[in-house]
Formats: sequence, C-alpha cells, structure tokens
Amino acid sequence: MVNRDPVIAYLLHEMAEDEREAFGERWFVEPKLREDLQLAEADLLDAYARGKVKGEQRKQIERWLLGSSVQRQKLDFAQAMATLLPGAAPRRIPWSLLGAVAAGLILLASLALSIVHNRQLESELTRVEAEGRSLAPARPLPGTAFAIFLPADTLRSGAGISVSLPQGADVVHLQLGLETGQQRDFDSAVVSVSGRAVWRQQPVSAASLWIPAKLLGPGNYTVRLDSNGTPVAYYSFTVLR
Amino acid sequence: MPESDPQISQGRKRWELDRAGWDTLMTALAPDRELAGHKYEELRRRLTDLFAWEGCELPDQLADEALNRLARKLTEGIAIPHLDRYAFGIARFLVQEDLRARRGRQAALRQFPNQNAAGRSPSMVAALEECLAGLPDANRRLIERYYADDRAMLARELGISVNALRNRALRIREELFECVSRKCDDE
Repeated sequence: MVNRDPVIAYLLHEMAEDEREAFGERWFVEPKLREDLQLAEADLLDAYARGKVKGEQRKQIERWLLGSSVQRQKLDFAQAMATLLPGAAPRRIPWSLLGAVAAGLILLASLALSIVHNRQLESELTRVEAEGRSLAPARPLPGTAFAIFLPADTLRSGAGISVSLPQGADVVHLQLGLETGQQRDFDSAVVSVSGRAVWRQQPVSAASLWIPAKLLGPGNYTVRLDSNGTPVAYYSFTVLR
Repeated sequence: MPESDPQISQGRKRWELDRAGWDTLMTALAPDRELAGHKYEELRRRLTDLFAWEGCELPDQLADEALNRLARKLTEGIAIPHLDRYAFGIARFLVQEDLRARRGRQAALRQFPNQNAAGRSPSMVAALEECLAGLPDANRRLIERYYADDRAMLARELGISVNALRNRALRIREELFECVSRKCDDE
C-alpha cells in the first residue's frame, strides 16, 4: 500500500492541514472522489482485519480510522468478511514443495484414517462385547476418507487453512479444535461456501463432522457450530482447485 | 460562510430542529419530497464520513447537529445557493469545536487496541452469512473470488480492468455492509 496516494494520505492524516482542508472540500462535492475514498477505506480495513498491515500504518489506521463506533462497526464488518471470505493461500508455490506438501497431506490423511478406523472398530467391539450379542448391520464405513483438523485459534483469526482434496476421497472428516473448557457437543453444524449451506449435521458430537467429499468443490468454506439456536463458533478453510 | 453557533459555545439552550425547520430544509434540498428525503440521507452519510475521517468520536451525532444548523440558517432566511458547500463549512466548524472539546480527554480515550481486541461479533458473522446467501449468484461468486483469487487474473478473465473489478467488488461489499447493518439494527 502506497501512502503517497492522496486518498490514503487523507484518510491517514498524512497531509498538511491546508491541503487536507482543500481535499476535504473537494471530495465533499465530488461523488467520484468520495467513492475513491470509500474504496481506499474498505481496502485499508480489509487489510487491517486480515493482518496484512504492519507497523506505522497499522497505528495510523487505529488512530484515525477506528476512533468511533461508526468506524469500529466498519471494522467488525471487515473482520466478518475475513471470516467468511478468507483469502486463498499464496499461489506462487514451487511445484516441488507443492508435491512434498501433497504427499505429506496424503500420508497424514492415511494415518488419520487408520486411527479413525481403529477407533471406530475398537468402539464397535466394545459396544458389541458389552451388549453380549452379535454384530448388528453396521453403518458402512466410508471408502476413502480425508481428514482435516481445523484449530480454533488460527482459523478464527482469518488466516485460514487451504487443502487440496485427493481425487479418490469419498468423505472428508472435519475435526474442529475447541478452546479449553469449551463444550464438546453441539446442536448442529452448518458448512457453507459464500453463505450457501452445503452440509448440515445435527447433533454434533465431539466437534467432529463427516461430509461427502463431492460437496466440497473449490472455494472458501465456513463451518458454524450452533448451540441452543445461537452460533457459538466459526471456522474457515479453503478447498483449492 | 457559516459561523460557529453562539448558543452552544456560550452554554445556552441549543436550537432544536422543529417541523418548520425540517420542512424548510427539505424544500431547499429538492422540491419533490421523496427526492429531498434521498438527498437528506445522502448528505447525512457524507457528513458522517467527514466527521469519522476527521477522527471525531460521535460522527453520526455531529452529522445531525450540522444538519440542524443548516436548517436553522435556512429558517432565518439566509440565502444558501450551494447547500453542499455550506454544509461543509458548518462541518468544519463542528470539527474544530469537537477537537477542542476532546483535546483534554484525548490521551485516555486513544487506548484503542483494547477495544479492537474484542474481535468480531458472532451476530455480525451470522448476519453476513445470511446477506451473502441472499446475493444473486453472479455477485456472490464475484465477491468470493475477489478475495480468494489473484485479482489481475480475475479481471482478465472477466475482460475488465483491475480498477473496474475493484469498483464492482466494492459496490457488492457496500451492499453487504448495508444488509448486515440493517440486520444488526433489527436485533
């Protein structure tokens, strides 16, 4: 972001006072210039909400653009936008690194799948032993599952997690990180892309969701956990192309 | 040019906008009442932005005060050929008055980061989620890709300039902001 731009300089009070007053009078009567200011303000607040502004400029934004409830409401909005529409991961990744990351993810997914399968089998075995009867027709386990862990702290900051789903994945297992002391069971969860719900699950036990992989096309997803009819937590992740 | 309001600066009873003052202001804005209403709202938004960007703590209240003073001048029979510029002049005085009033307490109130740390409200995220869902598909896809994709590539794909893309995205963002504000006000 370049502060030499008079529009940014005006918003961040980096103009001489007489110049600032003249600029103020201009934008007040020129709709196009006012629109430029609103664009620049939205960019600044988006960048601030997404943690992309550092140092002196961050302080200037806090000092001059966030001093009133009217302005803080704009920041709240920018933060909500960052939650629901997070930016994608940087695209210029060396292919060799991408390959290594993909291999690592597949390995992790396989490991997670094994653990999950083992736990399911153990729990099924325990249940059957306890009931003392033969195994009833069980819910079929998914063919190929892909596990994603969404930590509570990093995702709420809008930083987001980006994943590439392997082609053969049938089911995606979302394990949602919880804060210490937070409840583990919820009334429902809604997975949305750009505000459009693609999956609902109710109830949600142990903050764990299973979603058919075919529903998760490329895009920025939000997971909302509800309790007593009220949203209690949000998570976000990006499925890459 | 407008003057500072002596009734306020000397601590006397402030002038209140009455029905006649309101009618005078609306007539000065436009002969048609509906159009005058739109112009009033638009002028109020501009004033609110001006006060907010000047760092005033109560921009919306100051905007109302500026409009009150404008109405008062009109009811006093002062001919005002350019309402916009006159309103700007009133606003400049109000900014100076506000600056003087808050100078003493500025240091204490500038501890902003604590307020910022409160973070986003779940209700606003929920409202935005609903507003996004209510957008036409094309607009929803555009705003989503505006934040997620490379903007130069997206602009090329759409056959428009990056600046035009930015303008288009801002209009959708503005629409979302208004939708969210309405929903949050209704709560």
